[in-house]
Amino acid sequence: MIYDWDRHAAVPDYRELFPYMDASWAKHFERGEFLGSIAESSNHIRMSVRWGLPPVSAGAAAEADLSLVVPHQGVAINGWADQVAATVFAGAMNSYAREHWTADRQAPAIVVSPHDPAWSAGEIRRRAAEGGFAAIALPFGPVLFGSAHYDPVYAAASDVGLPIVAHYSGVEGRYAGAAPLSGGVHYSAFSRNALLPHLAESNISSLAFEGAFERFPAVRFLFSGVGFSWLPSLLWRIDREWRTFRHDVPWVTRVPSSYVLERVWVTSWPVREATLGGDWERLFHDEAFRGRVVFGSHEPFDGDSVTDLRDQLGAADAAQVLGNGEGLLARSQAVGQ
Amino acid sequence: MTQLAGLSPYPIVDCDVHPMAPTNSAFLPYMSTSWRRHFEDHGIRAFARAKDRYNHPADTQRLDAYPRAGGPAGSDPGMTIERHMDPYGISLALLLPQQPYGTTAWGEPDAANAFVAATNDFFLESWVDFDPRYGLAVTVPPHDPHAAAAEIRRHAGTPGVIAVQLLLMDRMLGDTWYDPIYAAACEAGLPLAVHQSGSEGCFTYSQGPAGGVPRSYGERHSVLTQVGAANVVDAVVNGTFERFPELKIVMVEWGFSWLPAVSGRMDLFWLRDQSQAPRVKRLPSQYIAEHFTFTTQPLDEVGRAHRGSLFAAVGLRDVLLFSSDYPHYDTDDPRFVLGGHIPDDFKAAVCYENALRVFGPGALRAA
Amino acid sequence: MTSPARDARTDAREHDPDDFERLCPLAELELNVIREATVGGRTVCVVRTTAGVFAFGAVCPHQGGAMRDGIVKGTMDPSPRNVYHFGHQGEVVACPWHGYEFDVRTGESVCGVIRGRVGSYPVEVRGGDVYCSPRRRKPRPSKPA
Repeated sequence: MIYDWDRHAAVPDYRELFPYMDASWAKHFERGEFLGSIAESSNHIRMSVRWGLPPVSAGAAAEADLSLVVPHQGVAINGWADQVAATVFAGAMNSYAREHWTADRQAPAIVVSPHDPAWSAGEIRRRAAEGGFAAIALPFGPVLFGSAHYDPVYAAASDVGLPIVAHYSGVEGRYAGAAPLSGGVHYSAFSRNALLPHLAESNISSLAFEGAFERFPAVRFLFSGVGFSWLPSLLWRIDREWRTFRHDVPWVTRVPSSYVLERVWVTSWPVREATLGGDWERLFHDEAFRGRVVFGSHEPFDGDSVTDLRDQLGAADAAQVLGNGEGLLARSQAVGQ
Repeated sequence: MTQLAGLSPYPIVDCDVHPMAPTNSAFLPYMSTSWRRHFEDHGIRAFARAKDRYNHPADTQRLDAYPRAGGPAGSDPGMTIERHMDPYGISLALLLPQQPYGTTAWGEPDAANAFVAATNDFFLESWVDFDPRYGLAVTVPPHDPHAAAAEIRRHAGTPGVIAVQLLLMDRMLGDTWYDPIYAAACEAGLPLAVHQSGSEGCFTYSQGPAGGVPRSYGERHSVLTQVGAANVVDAVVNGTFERFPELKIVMVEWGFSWLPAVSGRMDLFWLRDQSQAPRVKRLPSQYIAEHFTFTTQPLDEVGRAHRGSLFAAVGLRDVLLFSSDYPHYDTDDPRFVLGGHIPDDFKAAVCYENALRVFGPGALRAA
Repeated sequence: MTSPARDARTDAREHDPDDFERLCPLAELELNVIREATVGGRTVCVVRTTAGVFAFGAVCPHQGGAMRDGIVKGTMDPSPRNVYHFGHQGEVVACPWHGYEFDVRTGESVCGVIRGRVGSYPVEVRGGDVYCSPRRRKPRPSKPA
């Protein structure tokens, strides 16, 4: 089986969303500058100095049995100032996605808002009841994922049995009030791109140390679009810190890496990041680590094809990675908490 | 403590040892009268971390490092020799004074300039003159690059001064703001040493981890390494080493197991499209290999299955420097690390060869 | 001619299969102050806490820190999120370096944080004196962490 857990779709024009929202809200959004801002969301996801690139979409992967479509324009609400409008926009995007990006081997993610967990929980339950969605796209917010702030989201995710996919939008570390990147202010998109994996690291660390993994054992996470060769170093580090500070965070009742090795996955793109310096052989010969990597092409953005994966990892390892995605499939019955 | 012969057939250079003055008043005699009066009046905040925001549940110092006669851990140069240098046969310790770190939380540049200069004079007299195995990283004040450059020039050529301790506030290493400092350090032939100050993740004018605010001390400590990585990336991307081809930077206590992933990611994206980072003229990993070194403590605890993995990263042997972080709580015991956790074919490089390359043979003042 | 008291001590050594040795008067053990002692040629740590008198190994199994410089404390039990359950005051000793916690009675790592343990040695108070045996207590069958 082949699963592509990272493909992207976009509307060519925000007016396409208007039929899917309240008519007066559509009037609010029907302004030149907002409609023109589609250029910005098209730029964010590319993490590039290039400007003026059009919104592009990828359909289902030809070879995949299931493709997850992440509506990155929806994920970019994590840079908006108007978080009320953001949920209207995300809701319309989800309705559009259900109609246009759902097919036999293709399913969209439900876009939710890190600023509004209550709305998000309701949206998750509504869309799961409608059917057709394969995951929950939780944008990186200003609060780390381990915070009790997200409890309604995780409770809903547990109930509906869908995994949470965290993919960057491109505003992280750039837009004021959005999730910061490490260090100081990075003007360069190249720098921000290089450091994006830290978003996954910090949020995994938070989920562990705040006891969210412990509190919500049924929730699965996929950190998408940020590579994976950083994972072993992170796990060694959080385990070592837990050994000294366990008594300060006694709700973390197991060594933190054990949660990650059960219920956190990472996408493979860019797979060459791990093969350029031999990190794949060096670190991912370990079955525990290798089992966390799922194929995510990142199409249509300068991604990896299945062939790329096979060329870089070899047939056997590629087959495993292609199949690892099965662990993220929807669970029809909620697992007891 | 018994002599541990055979720990290493080579000299051992410990690239992270923290000396302390017994009290902050010990620095006062090294200042002008007016500054002395200022600090007597206003007090001295000699620590950086906001302790109401992040507080260690126990002690940041090893409990066995407190002098019996009193004073903070690491405040007795004789004790550090007796309990740490002699037993392990350490031939050179890079001294990274901790009390100046507090200035990264100050708002008064002139006071910081005066205080930091006084700390340097204190440690030269009390530690560097005490034993030739002590090599000092003179601290430079963090608010004013011109004052920092002047402080470097003041100590250039002083025997026993082997590095410059650079304190970071909100600006990262690639910022041209540091250029006067870099110029002075290169002129003096001194490498920079960059260690956490404690301010990370605390203030509007400090750097921090990605994603948000870690809740506890331990969680913050887990993601603290990210600030090191961010500065490595920033220096490479902004062309620091094109401007200063002689510059050497020692990243102290930032870890190193994260390095191959960051380095590989930068290399890949640069190879795909060099126009995204026009100041980068060569592979990012080449700049890192030529200009950066990384201390070993805290050494990753990887389990038997990955002992080989940790050290098999391309080029790692040439960038690692042994360190203990004596007398901090998260120390690596030299016997533990060098006895069984550094591969044999790494030992010469990690114990002293890389250090000699970075600090120069003159750093080893002891016969 | 030996005194009856001396005979009693000699008898204890001859007939005591666990080789208990007299260390010191109990009154000399200051509360929570860890002392090193040699018992049967072995270096052990001895301490009197609010929970009793205990003897454990001198070296931390993590990196070899000297347990005599450690600290006697209680600790937080595993608990639900954001709740603290403090307990075991006087029953935990922490290494002076990385703060790894060990049960003073059994030497086991609290919550199985590391697989290693410090040794645990039988201690008895006889007639106001502290006696210790160099025969390490056997570990309980290991449980998963």
